[in-house]
Amino acid sequence: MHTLWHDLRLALRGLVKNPGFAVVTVLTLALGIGATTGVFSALHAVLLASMPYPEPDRLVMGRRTQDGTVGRWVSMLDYLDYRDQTSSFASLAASPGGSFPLASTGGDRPERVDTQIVSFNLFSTLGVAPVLGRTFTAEEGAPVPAAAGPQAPMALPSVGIVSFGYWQRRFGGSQDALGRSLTLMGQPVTVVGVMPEGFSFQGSADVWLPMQPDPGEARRFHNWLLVGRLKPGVGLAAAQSEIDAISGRLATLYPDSNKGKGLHLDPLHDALVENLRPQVLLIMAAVALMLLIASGNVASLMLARGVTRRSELAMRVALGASRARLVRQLVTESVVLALLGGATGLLVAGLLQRALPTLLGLDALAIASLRLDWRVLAFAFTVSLLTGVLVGLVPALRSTRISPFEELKGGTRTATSGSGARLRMALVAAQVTMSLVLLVGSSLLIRSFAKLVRTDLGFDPDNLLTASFALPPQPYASDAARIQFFDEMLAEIRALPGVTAAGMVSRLPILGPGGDIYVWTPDKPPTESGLGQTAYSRRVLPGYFATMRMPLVAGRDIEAADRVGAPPALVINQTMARTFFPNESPLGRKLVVDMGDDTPVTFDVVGVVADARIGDVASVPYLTMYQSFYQFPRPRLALAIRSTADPQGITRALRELVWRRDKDIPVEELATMTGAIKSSMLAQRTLAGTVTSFSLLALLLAAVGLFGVLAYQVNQRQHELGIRMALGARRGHVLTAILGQGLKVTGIGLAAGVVAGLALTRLMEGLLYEVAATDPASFLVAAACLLAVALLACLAPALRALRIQPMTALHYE
Amino acid sequence: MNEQNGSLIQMIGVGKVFLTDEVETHALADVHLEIARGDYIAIAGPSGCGKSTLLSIMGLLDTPTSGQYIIGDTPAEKLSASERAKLRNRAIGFVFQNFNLIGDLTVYENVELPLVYRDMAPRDRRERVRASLEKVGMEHRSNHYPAQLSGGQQQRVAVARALVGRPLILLADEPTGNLDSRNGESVMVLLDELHREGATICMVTHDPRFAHHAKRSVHLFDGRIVDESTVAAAS
Repeated sequence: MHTLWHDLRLALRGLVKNPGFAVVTVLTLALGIGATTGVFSALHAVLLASMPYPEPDRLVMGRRTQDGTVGRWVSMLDYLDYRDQTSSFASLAASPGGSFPLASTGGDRPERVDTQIVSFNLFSTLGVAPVLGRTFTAEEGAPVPAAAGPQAPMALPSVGIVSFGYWQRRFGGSQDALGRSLTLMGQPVTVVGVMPEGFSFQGSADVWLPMQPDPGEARRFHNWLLVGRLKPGVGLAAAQSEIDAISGRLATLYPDSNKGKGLHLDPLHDALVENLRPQVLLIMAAVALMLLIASGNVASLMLARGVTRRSELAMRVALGASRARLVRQLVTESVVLALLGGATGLLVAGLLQRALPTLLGLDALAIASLRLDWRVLAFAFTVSLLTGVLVGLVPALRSTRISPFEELKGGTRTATSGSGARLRMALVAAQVTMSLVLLVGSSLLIRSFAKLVRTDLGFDPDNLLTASFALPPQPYASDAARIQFFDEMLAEIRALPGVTAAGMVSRLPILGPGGDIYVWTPDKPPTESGLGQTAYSRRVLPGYFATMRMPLVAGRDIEAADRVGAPPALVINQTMARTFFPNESPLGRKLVVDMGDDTPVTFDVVGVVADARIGDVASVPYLTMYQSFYQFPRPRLALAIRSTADPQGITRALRELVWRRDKDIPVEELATMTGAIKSSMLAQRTLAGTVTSFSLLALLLAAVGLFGVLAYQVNQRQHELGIRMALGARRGHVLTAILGQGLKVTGIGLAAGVVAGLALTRLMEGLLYEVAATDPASFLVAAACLLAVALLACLAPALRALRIQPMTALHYE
Repeated sequence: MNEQNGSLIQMIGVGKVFLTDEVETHALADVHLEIARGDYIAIAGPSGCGKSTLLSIMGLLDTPTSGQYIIGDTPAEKLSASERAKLRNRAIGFVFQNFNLIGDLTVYENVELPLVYRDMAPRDRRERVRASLEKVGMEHRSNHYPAQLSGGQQQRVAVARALVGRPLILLADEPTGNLDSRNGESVMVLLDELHREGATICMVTHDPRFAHHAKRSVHLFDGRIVDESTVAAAS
C-alpha cells in the first residue's frame, strides 16, 4: 500500500512535470473512453437493463406464427381466446402497433388527437398506474357488437385516459380534468385517468380508449400485439407449452382461419429491442475500435517516453530498483492517466447520452433519457483501468529492458531505429487496420443510405403536400354524405391557386403503411391449407395516380363512374399483375377480395399501375390494389396536393374551404412527402451518420498516431539522416525514406484491414440496402481515403526531415 | 573535374559566424587554405577552435558566411542543396570520430549506401563494395551489423564507406578519437596506406601523435590559421 501511494505520487508528479504529454494523453483517452461509456449506457439500456415496469422479467410479447414463421399481429378473437383460456398469465393484454388521429372538437377549433385503442388491462399488465384517476375496468372493455359494416364511422367508447402531455396541454394539468368530457369524432369521451409523464407503449398517444371487441369480427384479420404478465413462478417454456395447446384447440375449432396458426412468446424486452440490437452493437463495436485506436496512440507515446527515460530508469536500477518495481511504477503512471482520461471522458459520455435516445429511437423502449448511473460509472472505471494497463504494460516492459551500465556510460556508436520503433510501427499498422474496418463499415452504410435515397419510389415525392381526414359519424353516417364531402372538397382544392393536382387515397405511401388483406382468383379460393395471398388495399378517388405521378401501364384509372351499382373496379400494380396473371393481360380478369364483410367482393381488373414503395423506402414493391372510394366510402381519406406554392398558404386555404363546410374537422399543417420519406429513413441515416462520425474520429486518431510516430522517428533518426546526407543523400532520398516508412506501415495496415473488413462486414449484411457487405467500391473508397490521410500525416514529418542540418545531426560543434 | 591552379580545394578568406540568441560566434575567420591532389593534411588545434566547422564547410555540410570555397573548379556558394548533395556524394568521403554507421544496415549495406545515392546499378555496386571492404580488411564481416563489431572494426568499415565512391578527398574528423591506442594506430596505418596509393586526405585531430602522420599540418586557434607546417617524415 505504501509503495502504491509512492508510485501514485511519482506518477502525478511526472504528469505535472510533463503537462503537454499529460494533456494529449488524457484528451485522447477521454475521447475513446467517453464515447465507449456513452454508447455503453445506450447498450445497457437497450440490451441489458430492465424496462421501467415492475418485475419486467415476467412480461412477454406474443406474436402470431403461421406454419412456424413468426409474424407480428394477432386477431382480436384469437386474443380473447388466449386471454380467457390461459392459466399461465396473471393478465394478457392487447395493443395496436401505433396510434391513429381523431378529430377533437369542442375547443376553440378542432384539433387532431393521436389515439390508441388498448385492451382494458394493458396498463395493469405493464404495472403502470395513472398519476390521476384510474385505468379502465373490465366492463369498459366488454365486447360490443359493431353497429354496421366496415364503411360505417367508428363508434367510440365513452371513457378515455389521457397522456400526461395532453393533460397539461388541454387541461393545464388541472385535477378537474377527471370527469371532463372530450369530443372525439363528435362523440363524448369522459376522462377517467391521466398516465404518468413519459409513459408510452408502441408509439406515442394523447388519448387511450378501451378496446371493445366486436364478437362478429373475422378471425382472419390480425391487428393486435399481445403483451402478457406471467404468473409468479411460471416460466416462459411452460407458458409457451400451454399457449401451443390453446393454438391447437383453436386450429381444430376454426380450421378455415387458424390452421397452422400459433402464438410465439418472447420476453417483452427482447422482442422490443430486436430491431435496435444490431444498430447498437454496431455502434458499440465502432467506439470500441476507436478506443483501441486511441489506446494505440497513447501506447505509442508511452513507448517514446520510455526511450527518453532510459537514463532515469537505468539510474533507478543502479540504485537497487527491481524490474518488477519499475514496471509497476510505469503501469501506475499509465493507469493514472487512463483514470484521468476516463473522468474527462464522462463529459463526452454525457453529450452522447443526450443525443443517443433520439438518434436510436429508444423511446420505443420507454427510454427518454440515459443516465450516468453507478453501472455506467463502474463501466467507465473498469474500462479506464483496463486501458491504463493495456497502454502501459508493454511500453513498461520494454522500457525496463535496459542495461544500466550501457545507459549510464552514455551514447551508442551507431544510429539505429531499434525494436521500440518497430513496435510503434506495428501499433500504427494495427490502428490503420482498425480504421480501415471502420471506414469500410461507414462507407458501406453511406452507400447503402445513398441507394436508399436514390430509390425509385414509383411516385414523385417532390412538391407533394399531404394531410389526412377522418369524418365523424355525424353528419357523415351515410355513404352519400361522405362521398359528397370528399368529392366537393377535392374539387375545390384542385381549383386553389398554385395547386397543379390533388388526389385522395385511404393510405398514402410511406405515411400509411400496412392494410393488407386477402385476395384470390375466383378459380383458386382459399383452402384449408392457408388463407392465401395478401395485397395492400387502398381506396382512391379518380385522379390519385396522376397526382402521385404513378404511371398507368395498362387499362384505365378509377373513374367517377365506378360507383355503387357498377361492377366493382380494381386497379392493380405490376407486381400483383405478375403474381396473379403471369404472362397474360390482367385486364378484364376477376379478383376476389376479402373486404372484411361476410361475403368477399369480386372485382374486375380495369387497370395496371406502376409499382410504388408503400410500406417504407427499403421495402420491395408488394402486391397493391386500388378500389374506387365511391364503391367503398369509408370515413378516412388522405390527401395529396401537388403544388409549388407556399405550404402554409395552401394550409390556410385548405382550412378555409374545409371549415366552410364543417368547423369540426381538424386541418393540421400540411406535411411534405419528402419530409415523411426523410423521417422513414431516420434509422438508416442515424446509423450511417453515427458510425461515420466515429470512423472519422478514428481516422483522425490513426492519422495523429501515424504523424506522431513518424515525427518521433524523424527526431530519433536525425543522426542517421545526417549520416545519409553526409554520404550524398538528396532531398528526394530523404523524402522517400520518411514517406516510404509511413506508407509501408500504412500499406501493411491496409492489407490487414481489407482481410479483417471482408470478415467483419459480413456481420452488417442485415443493415445494408442493395449493397453487398463485400462491395469493392466501399473498400476502395475507404482505402483511398485512409491512404490520402496517411500521406498527409506522413508529409509533415517528411518535410521536417528535409530541414535537418547534417552538421547539427552529426553533432558538430 | 578540373582544378584551378592545381588545387583540389581552395578556401579564400573563409569565415563562419553562428548566430545564437542574437549572440554572434565567430567559428572561423579569414581562413585561406589550399589542398592539392595527393596531399595528406592534418588540421590541429584545441577543442572549440573551429576544426570541425572547417571540415564541415570543406565537406559541403555547411556553407561559409564569408569568403569563397572552391572544390575542384566549382565555387560551392553557387550550388543548390541538391547539387551540393550530388557533389558531396562524388567528391567527398567522410570518416567520423564516432564512426556514424547506420545500425539497421549491415556492413555491406553501410558501405554500399553512397553508391545507392549515386543511382549506381546493383551489379556495379557489388564489385565496388567488395573491393572497398577488401581494402580495409573487413570483407569477411560484410553480413554483420555494426553492433557486432569492435570500435576499430567499425572505423575500418567507415573508411571503406568513405572510399567506395572513389572521392576526390577523404575528410577524417578525429578518426581515432573513439578508439584505443592499438586500434587508433591501426586506423592511422590504414590512412597512410591509402595516402601512399594516391588518396587525398584531410584529417582533423587534436592528438599530436596522429597529426604527425600527415605531410602538412595546419594549426587553428580561435577560428584562424595560426601556423602551417610541413612534416618532414611520416611515421
